[in-house]
Amino acid sequence: MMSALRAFVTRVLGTFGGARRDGELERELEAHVTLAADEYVRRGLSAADARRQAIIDSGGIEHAKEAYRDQRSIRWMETLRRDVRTSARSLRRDWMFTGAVLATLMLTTGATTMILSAIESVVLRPLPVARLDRIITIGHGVPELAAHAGMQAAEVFDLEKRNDLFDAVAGFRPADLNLTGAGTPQHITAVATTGQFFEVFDVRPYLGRLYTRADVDRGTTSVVVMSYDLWREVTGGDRRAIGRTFQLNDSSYTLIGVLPPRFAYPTGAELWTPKTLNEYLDRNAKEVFRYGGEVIPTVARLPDGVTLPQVQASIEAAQREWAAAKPEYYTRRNPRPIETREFTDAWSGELRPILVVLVGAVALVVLIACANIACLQLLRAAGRSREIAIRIALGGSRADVLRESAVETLLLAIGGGGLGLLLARGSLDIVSSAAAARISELGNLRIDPFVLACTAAVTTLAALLFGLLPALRASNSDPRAALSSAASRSQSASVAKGRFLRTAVVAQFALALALLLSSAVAVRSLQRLLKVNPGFSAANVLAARLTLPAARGSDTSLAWATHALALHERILARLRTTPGIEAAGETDVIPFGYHGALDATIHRMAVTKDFGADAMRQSLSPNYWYVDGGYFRTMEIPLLAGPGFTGHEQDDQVRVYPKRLQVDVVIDAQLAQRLFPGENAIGKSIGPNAPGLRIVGVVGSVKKYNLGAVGNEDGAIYLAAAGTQSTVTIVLRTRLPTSAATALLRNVVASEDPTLPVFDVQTLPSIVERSTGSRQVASWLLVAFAALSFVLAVLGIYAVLSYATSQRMKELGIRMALGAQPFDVVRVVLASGAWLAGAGVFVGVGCYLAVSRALAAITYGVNQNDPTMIGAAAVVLGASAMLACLPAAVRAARLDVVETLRAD
Amino acid sequence: MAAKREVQQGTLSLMILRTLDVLGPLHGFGIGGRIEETSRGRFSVNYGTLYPVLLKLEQEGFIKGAWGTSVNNRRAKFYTITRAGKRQLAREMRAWEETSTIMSWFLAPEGST
Repeated sequence: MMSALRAFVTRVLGTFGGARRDGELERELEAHVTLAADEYVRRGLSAADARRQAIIDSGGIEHAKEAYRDQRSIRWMETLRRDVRTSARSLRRDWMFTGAVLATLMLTTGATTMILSAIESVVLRPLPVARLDRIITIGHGVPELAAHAGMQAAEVFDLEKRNDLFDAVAGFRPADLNLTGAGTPQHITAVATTGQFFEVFDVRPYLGRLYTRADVDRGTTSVVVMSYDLWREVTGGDRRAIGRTFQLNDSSYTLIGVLPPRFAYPTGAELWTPKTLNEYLDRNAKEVFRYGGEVIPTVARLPDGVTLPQVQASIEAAQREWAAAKPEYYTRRNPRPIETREFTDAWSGELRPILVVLVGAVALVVLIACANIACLQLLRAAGRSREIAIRIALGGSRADVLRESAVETLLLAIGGGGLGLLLARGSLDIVSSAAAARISELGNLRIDPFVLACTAAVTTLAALLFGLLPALRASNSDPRAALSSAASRSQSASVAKGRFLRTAVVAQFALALALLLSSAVAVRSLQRLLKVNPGFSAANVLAARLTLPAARGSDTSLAWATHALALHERILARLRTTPGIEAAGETDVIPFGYHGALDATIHRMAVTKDFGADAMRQSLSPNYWYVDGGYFRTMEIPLLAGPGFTGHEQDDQVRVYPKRLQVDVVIDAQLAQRLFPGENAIGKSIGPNAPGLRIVGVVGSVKKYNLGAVGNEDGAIYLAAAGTQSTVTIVLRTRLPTSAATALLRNVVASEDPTLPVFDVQTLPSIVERSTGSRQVASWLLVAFAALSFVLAVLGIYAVLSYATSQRMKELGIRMALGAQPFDVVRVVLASGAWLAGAGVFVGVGCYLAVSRALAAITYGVNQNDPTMIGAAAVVLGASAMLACLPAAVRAARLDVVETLRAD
Repeated sequence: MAAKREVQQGTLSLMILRTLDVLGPLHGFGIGGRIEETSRGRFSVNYGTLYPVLLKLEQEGFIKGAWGTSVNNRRAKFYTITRAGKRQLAREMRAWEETSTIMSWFLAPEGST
């Protein structure tokens, strides 16, 4: 075995350095003959006879050499090596052709790689987790955030307890924590989960261990698991940090484990703990909290062999049991239908249809590139047809010619593909971080073996397919025709060739037009979307968050809320009197501030205009928000009726609500319309629970999640911020530069409480724009692809028309000799170009109309089939085609009649 | 005298190894002569067959070639059997003996076994 391997390696190496080894053999054979001749001399022959006899005895020298060479190296490898050298030489000679093909391949490969890596990290393998396909999300269909819908805490606990449906199930909610006692206070994006969270993902720790349900049952919940990055940042990558305690919100937590790099679920999470969720929603807490308005994102791992529909049915059965046990919490609107989805499906969410569009676009670009390369190859082959014909006439086999073509094509594919990969590699980080600013899921694009394999396959296939086609054609041509003096103009060959070239150009134009139109739709949709009025004025508004350490001890309530409220009010009061700040306010969540599963806890409240036993069944479920009066002024949300919040409501909320007294609320126009159509809502009380909420103001409706989406049709209800939320968002209206305003805000906060970190400082326009992030990224990419395909198509028609015109020089010369003016020649050439471009545009419009429905994911408020837009694109493309044809036409018009007709 | 026969493929490498094992370092011509001699002139070895096999054995690491000077002062490439070659020789000799034994059973006159 070893000896066979050794022999193989030696033979592979033997493929190279053939000349030196040939010399060695020569000497050895010479020695042999000499020795044999010596023998004959010893037997008495003359020196000359002896040598002759020795050669005769030994068999043919050439035969020996040939057999020896076969043994020395591997025959096909030697052939391949020769072909590679020949091809490389010929590619160097035609450097313009080579450059054009390499550039085309580089750009298409780069684009393909980029899109593939996006698909891989968003759709196929977003987390480094085994059997990702067994993980599902479960949730009530919440239309605003369908991707991250969740369950009520009580339901999650019940599913966890019964353990017959899932291998593991877990819910989670954001738990903003401040890390103190280690230098400057630092805000951590933390997640509170139920016990089985890591069992759902079946993730192995990088260090230490991960908590399980047993920890929660034992009550050892003051433990944390860190992300790889946070562990590096906080401990400097100290492996002995496991077991160390950290101060989070003034409580001590023990670090028990570190997750592997790239595990970031929910997106952006840095720290996981079972503590707050299980305390907040623990089995002893008030039922109303566990069934209350809060819905927490829920994930589960399916047992092997259980399908999604089966689980869906089981969950619905469970829900009927819950509804039977607690009818007061399961009203007409609640249960909402429960939806189970595959995790990867939910993860990619709204990105998936957009990625589908982009994949389609890349496919078109690849097709255009193929057609382009095929054109270039064919044109080049036209120049080489004579050479090939000579070789075939001299007995070169067709297989040889084809093989050389294939090798050449492969060289181009490898070169272009390699350059493309380099391009993708170089720009991936830039693209990734630029895209991540808009779509956090695109934050860790990378090229892994899967992407690499796909790219290589696509490039090679494309290059081979379209490189071999022209070669086949060339090798099939009749060598006699090609060699005869009129060869290059021989009709039959050039007709077929011309047909192929024309088809390729038409196809390129058609595809380029489709891409151009798609990008136009994307860009116009985006423009339209950004013009949508969100109901507030985002310009000059800055948002920042701060987290107050949660209450100490078991008393969650009054003292702490009073302290928090007072602190917030002091901060806001100081901000309002700071020069340069026009208005300031607070809210628990900023509109458009939902970015992923982490922000997906939805606050909804059951609201009716009646009270009483039956009221729940009639209830609406608006979203509720905690704000202060300054919030509406800062956001410039118009107060449509009533006095609104006047300042005392917040204290009321703190002191009065727990005693079940009535508090004042503001509702939005939408809820007012739903509850009291045609009536004045001010002063009315709404239920369902007595004494209810008194409406003191109606404000304009605000888009909350997405400029394009309808949002919650039940509207919104605003409660007075009452210090009950540990994390609040401060909004400022200011004309100061962001950095100056941020510094002001930090100063004010620090002067009130130096341990409070201010984080997530963002301008409101950027938050709003970010909500259109995936559309923006899609638009950039589509525009880039369209530009690329446009350039390729124009280059294609330029090359083909130049070639066709050069083939027609004789005809044009005759025309001119017969009295045609240069202008007529220009017209003839342009007409043939126009015919091609026209056909391309015609076919392109047809293709586009056939598939434009696929663009639904990127369309907003724009007619995809808008005739003006299609017309404009067609005109632009057509005009560019004419421009590209001009050089060929001018060359034709300048042709020297005498020279042309004399040539041959 | 019977007509000369070409050496059967496969047996040549065994013969070469055996020759080198018995006689020590030898050049190609010497190996060929020795094989013809040992076969009492029944085998002829032309160098179209011999040198590729030598190369193959060298590639497999069973023999080593080095340039040297012959007794009558000619430059030639001398081959030496390596340790791996000796092991290979032992293996092949065993296999060959087994084969020839089995063949002799087959070819024995009927009923004599």
